[in-house]
Amino acid sequence: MSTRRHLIVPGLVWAVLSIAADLTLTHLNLPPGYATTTAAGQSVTGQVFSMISATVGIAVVVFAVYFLVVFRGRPGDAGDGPPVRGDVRLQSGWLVLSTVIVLFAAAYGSIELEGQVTPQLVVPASQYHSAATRHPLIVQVIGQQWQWTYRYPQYGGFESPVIRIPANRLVQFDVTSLDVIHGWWAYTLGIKVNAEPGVNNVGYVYALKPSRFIVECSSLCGLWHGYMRNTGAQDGEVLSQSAFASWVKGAQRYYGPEDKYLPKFALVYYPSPTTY
Amino acid sequence: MTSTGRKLMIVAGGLAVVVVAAALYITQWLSYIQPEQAPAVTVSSSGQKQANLELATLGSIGFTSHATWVAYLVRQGGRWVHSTNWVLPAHALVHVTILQYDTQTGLRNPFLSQVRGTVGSVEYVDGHAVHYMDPTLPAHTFSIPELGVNVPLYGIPNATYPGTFGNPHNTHETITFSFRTGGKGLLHWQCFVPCAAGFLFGNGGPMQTVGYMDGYIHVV
Repeated sequence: MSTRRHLIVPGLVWAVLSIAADLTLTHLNLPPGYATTTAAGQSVTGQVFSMISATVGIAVVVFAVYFLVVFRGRPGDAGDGPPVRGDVRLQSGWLVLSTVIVLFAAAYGSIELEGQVTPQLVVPASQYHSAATRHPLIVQVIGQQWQWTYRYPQYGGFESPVIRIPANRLVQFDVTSLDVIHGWWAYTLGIKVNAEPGVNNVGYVYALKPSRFIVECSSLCGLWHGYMRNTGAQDGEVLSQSAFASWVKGAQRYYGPEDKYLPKFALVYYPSPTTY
Repeated sequence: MTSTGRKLMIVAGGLAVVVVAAALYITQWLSYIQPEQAPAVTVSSSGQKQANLELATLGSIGFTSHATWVAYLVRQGGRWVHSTNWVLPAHALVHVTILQYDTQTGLRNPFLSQVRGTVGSVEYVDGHAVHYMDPTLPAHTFSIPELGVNVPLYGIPNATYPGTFGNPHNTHETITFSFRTGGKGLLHWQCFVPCAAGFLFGNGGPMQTVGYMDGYIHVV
């Protein structure tokens, strides 16, 4: 069989399998989902890189199996194999292809990352100049061993053990901790921000529709780290704007009596003492 | 025995040691979360399941290898038991009585000085209804985050009396409240006052050891 046919046969198999794999991947609902623009971006990124990986992986497997089978030693054949010669076209080809894939991945990842930390890029293009973007909702996330609490400084600074945010409005999370390092992770919102004592870490989210979400701690923070989550009855919720406004009114009434004991809102707190 | 046989015996022996050690470790860990006997369940005339839970909070437990640690005790079978793993019935109204012997420490997060998740969002301290308190006053809290229950426990104001059973003045407060359990499952409860003296942030030692200031609630 000529050299050309040894490339065409596995090449055709690779092409068919790659197309099938990539088509399957485009129909999969990859995590974290599409509840927010950030999560949607991550799901699409997962699909794009899965398709590239699948294509490369299938090529490696198909060509490896083909050559292992076709060029295996036959029983009784003790002779040397044919002399191996380099092929500049082949070597240049896979060098160029590898470079293109890596540069694409670097550019794609950089653009995606920039889009997740720049508030104007988190919102849909149609909302760049809207009031919802110019005046984001600020939610302070406070980590303590072992529970999350949330403060809403634009609504009198009340604090709540559950988190509610509105859909179709840019939300800015100011995340801090009162004791050790925690990790605030709202998986289906596509956001994870470290909660560090004395530090204010900021993340942004633009939720596209009402939904429920779980919050977990992603940094080992002590005995009950695994229970440091808002789940079940304590689920986080994305509400419609009107439902969010109603919730705020109810929360201000319910938690309001405690407001006089809360410290003035600040980006970080230093509760004392640190040792007893 | 051949040298291969000897090597196999050594490997098998080593594996057996590892398996036994792992089994002992797992058994000891399981014993931490095994609850004591369940409280008696009664049914009210309206068909509501009810249970009583009687607890005590001490400034120093007075026994065990950590005699100076703060601790919760539970009363079962008429005696005080050193355990923080309890069984409660599902979908029941649980009436809690806590004899609180410890002194005021204060909360790191003042928000947690509001009573939440109990019937009427209230606790009764020596018969007086309390919905929230000055965050410098609690000695401990009784909190079940998964149920949204948070009850700050008013601390003894006078630091003269040691926070233990049988102190000369038997100084304690009686705190009562009720909450509802949900469906079956394993919950965790804890104190949110950083009351572990001598530990960084007050959250080490008894605050991170089951059997002292936190534990499990098995809802069955």
